[in-house]
Amino acid sequence: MSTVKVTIDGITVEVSPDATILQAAAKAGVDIPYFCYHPFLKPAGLCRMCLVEVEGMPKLAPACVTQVRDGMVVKTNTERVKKAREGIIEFQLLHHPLDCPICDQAGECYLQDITFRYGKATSRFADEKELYPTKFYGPLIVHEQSRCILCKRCVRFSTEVAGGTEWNVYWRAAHSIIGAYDTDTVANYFTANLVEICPVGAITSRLYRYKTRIWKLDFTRSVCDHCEIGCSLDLGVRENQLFKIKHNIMDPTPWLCDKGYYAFDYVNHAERILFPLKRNEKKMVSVSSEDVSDQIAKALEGYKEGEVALIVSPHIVLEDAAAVKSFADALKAKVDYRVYGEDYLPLKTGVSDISDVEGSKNILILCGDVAVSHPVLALSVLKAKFSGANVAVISANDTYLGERSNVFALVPASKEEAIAKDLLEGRLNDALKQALSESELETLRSMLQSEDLMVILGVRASSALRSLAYKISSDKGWKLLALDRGSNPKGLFAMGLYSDGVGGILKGVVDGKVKALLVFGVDLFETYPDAALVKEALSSVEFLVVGDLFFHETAAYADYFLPLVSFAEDSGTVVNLFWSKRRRRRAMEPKGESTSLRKWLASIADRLGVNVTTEVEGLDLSSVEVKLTEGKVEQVDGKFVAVVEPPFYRSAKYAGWCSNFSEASAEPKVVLSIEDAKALGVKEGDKVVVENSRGRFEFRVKLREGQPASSVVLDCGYDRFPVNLLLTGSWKVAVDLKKA
Amino acid sequence: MGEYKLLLANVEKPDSEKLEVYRASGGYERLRKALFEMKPEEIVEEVKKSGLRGRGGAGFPTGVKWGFVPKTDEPKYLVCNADEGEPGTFKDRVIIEKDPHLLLEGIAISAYAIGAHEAFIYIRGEYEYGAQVLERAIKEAEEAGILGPNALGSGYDIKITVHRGAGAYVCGEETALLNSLEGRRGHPRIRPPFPASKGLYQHPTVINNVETLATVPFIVERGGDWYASLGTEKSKGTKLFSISGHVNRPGVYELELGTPFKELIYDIAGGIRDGRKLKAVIPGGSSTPMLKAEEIEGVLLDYESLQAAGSMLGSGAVIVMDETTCIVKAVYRMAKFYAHESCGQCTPCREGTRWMVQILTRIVNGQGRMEDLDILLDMKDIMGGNCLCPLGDAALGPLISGITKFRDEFEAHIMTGRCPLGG
Repeated sequence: MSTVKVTIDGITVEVSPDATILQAAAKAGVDIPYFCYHPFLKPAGLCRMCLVEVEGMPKLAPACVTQVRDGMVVKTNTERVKKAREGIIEFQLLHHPLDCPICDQAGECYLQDITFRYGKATSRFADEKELYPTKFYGPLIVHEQSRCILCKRCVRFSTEVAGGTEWNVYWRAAHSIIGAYDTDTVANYFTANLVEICPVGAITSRLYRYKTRIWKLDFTRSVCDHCEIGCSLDLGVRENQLFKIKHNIMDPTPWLCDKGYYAFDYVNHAERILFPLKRNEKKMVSVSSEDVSDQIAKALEGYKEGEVALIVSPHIVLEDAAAVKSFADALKAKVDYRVYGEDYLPLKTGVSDISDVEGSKNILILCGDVAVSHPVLALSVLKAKFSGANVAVISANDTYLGERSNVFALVPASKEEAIAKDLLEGRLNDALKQALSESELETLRSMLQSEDLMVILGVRASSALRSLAYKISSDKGWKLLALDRGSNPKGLFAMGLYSDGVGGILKGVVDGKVKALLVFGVDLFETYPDAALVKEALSSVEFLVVGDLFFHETAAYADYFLPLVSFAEDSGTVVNLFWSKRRRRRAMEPKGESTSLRKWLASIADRLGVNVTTEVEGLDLSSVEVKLTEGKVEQVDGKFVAVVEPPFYRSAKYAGWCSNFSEASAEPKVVLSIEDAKALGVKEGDKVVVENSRGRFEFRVKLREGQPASSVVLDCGYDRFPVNLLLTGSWKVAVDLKKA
Repeated sequence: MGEYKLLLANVEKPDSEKLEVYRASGGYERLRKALFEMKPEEIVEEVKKSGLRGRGGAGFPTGVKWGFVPKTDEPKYLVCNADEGEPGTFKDRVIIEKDPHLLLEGIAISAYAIGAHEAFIYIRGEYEYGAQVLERAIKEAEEAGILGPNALGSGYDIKITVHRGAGAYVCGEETALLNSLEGRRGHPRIRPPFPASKGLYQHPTVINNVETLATVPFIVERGGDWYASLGTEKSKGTKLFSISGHVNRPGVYELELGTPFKELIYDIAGGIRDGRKLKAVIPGGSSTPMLKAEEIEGVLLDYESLQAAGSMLGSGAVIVMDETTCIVKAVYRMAKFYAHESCGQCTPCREGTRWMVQILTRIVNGQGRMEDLDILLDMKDIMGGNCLCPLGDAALGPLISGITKFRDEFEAHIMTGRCPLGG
């Protein structure tokens, strides 16, 4: 590729001909201040802070949008540029409240930094400042219009990256305000980015409001714990409390989701159990760490081969997994991580980086909301779409990408799998034809005929569908991305932490084959889609050890409770969606006597006279083999078929202990079609009872145009609202609805 | 030199907006000539030869602008800028309301010349009657087979659509106009890319003022050389002037470029009302620097002479102020206009216009300080040329010229706390 030579302040650099002056200056090591420019948004040239003098141009040129020419001579250190910079800073500060002492952005504020470096010390402003009231947009963000410099970074993110329209500029001129026009709550999965890209304190996090100052935090670079994308996070800790998350690096994308940004305060939660507990009749009493290991080891000694089983969360690190594996092998115990009742195992496919998604020409998404299970991936899909790709979403529930895609079919819950199967085999099912217009069907057909097609299987896709998709995509040369739940399922699979499913273990308990159960890092009542089975198993098991952060419902059945550490207090390795290892680093000391799972297991194993390993270096991900399984897909039929899904703001790990985060989704809702609502005599906001032979729950009605009749979507994941009671092992179930 | 009736030849006829009246005076024959006898390049060549410059204010040569349109197969658009928002300007309104078919014919010829099949008239929201007239005229012409598919049986399709703006001055700026036309906020775009390569819906687009487009039929009819024979050597043709303020006969007059300024004020517009003395005049719409009475001595109304005199021809909106006018108040009023109409995108314009108003409000209210004048004059450096679109510079026109030319009046306001003219 040819390059051009540009001279900036006497330093000559070679850059590509489509570079801007700002990029060339960065290469030359010349600092050009800016507010509105952002390396991952389209340049806008609004703030005029980056004005520079270009030889031969009569006016000063904005460096962020001015393309370089060969032989261009740029000067940033002239009197004219200095005066323009001082002018712009003076303008920005005219009506700025200068409330740095109480502003959460202070210390990392562009306006502060640039004023110190390039501004004048005095102000000529003698008039009254025009200030605006503070606006709280729900539990996540606060907007201070007075501090806003109208750089429109947030608006550009919302429109260019997240594909939304509600966050925008309203009114005009100096009275322009940024905000959402007709809503008081902004919680659109990616509000974190508004906070992160705001160069001043106009948009700040409510979770961080007035908590601490940025310079008092020690940051440690770690990896997010909420899904298998594993975004790089900087954890800000002060006095052993986790206060703030930042995302300072394009790893894997420049963006971050609200789970990573807001759902971390469970780490500091007052309800965390920090000492081991043992059962004394109906009470749990504290016990020392030494005694608890002794007693658990002694109890386990009494069980024979096959009578012990372990269930672990799909979020544990590889080191813990190695310990679990060696512990289970020594005890000849079964172990499994698929706590959401999945019948599938991770599939290793050729997609090796998120840029493969961004570069796809056609993307077909089946069975699940990518933005809920793997949020940042949805932004990459949108990026592909904005650069011209066709995106089709086929789902039984309304998804974030749905309205933003080229083809979106809301299909009946009972037929979702069959439609997806037919589609992969090249047939357009009648139910699908009903949901789409002729032009959408045409797009879908052309996508299926293309060789450059990426199929993304959501977390609801069954093992049968996964196996089929794997075979067809290898035949046709399609790319396949099969999503799993949890943040390290691929690693746990590679470690061999699976047997016949969590359901199989629970049934073993009920049948009396498994007598002792160890559950780590998970509340089965919340995750397993059959709460009745969980209850039956936990009440009938002879010996139960639970390890976790909180004393949840599963723990209530335990004989011993072991306090575990959160992701911020532990180092370890995880395997991400693209089968590469990512390193989590410890950002703070473990609280109380909580410690990692591998240490508890080592201490118990020590007393049992067996060895556990935490060695993971030997794990070779390149040699992981694909294991296709084909579980039976149970056809669910009934008057109404419900698909049960957590809303985004309830889908994070420990969401119930993340107060601001979970508040954004306050109440469980049922999504109904308009016909069904008419037949039931209910309207939006009314309550309906959803019941079957196993239980009944009241939900608030939400109507959705295009929702197929007899198909409903139920929210789950709310505290003291165990919708899982309705389920029988699958996330789809037949229910009856009536007006409350 | 007197008035020269070219564009305004029809406007005084009864029912001049009707198709039959227009056709009776040879209307749409120029379109027929263009479609059947001329190649698009020939029309562009004639317009280049005519020396016609954009009549909206910037004065860019029209033929050159058309020449920038790439010769590709992608869709191209012609947009007629009928936003006419510059305070003092009301010349396009006459054509729109009284001779809409002249404009339509000009648009049709120009669309053909640049290879566009679709043209839009972006008319300012307040011109409700004008929009109705245009829509009626388009309907008439379409029913007569003059416009629409297969225009005049030539096989060339020309569709003209009227789009009403929503009232923002900045939408007269061509890229903001395009955004508004696309249904977005009327915010000016960063240039490059220029509209000629990436305009409406990211396709090549030519944007011309009403008066410019209405001139095109005459150039096609009589040739570029004939048009170039009008006016001065560099400023060719005729121009509409909307003269307002303290004159006896305000209105729209068509003059050959190069007519003496004083002839317009004292002969054609009937002189200053009540026999008072002239104090200042804004020659080309509120954004052009004002000239003192003695500065228009011997100045001709053309692009070069006005530039030499320190101002601009602009849109030809002459605002006349007599000796009773308080310049401070006039500047304050115009500053308020620009502060209200700034789109708010870029910092210098958004903050600069607001600050100007805040300072001028104090001066008008008798609470000014001497250093305020330095701040206002300093705007020329920190705001001038630093904005994203020309609105910021436009706001400086009356401010800087007002303070430099009538500084004593500003100082009197500040020192005495009241208006020396008793205003």
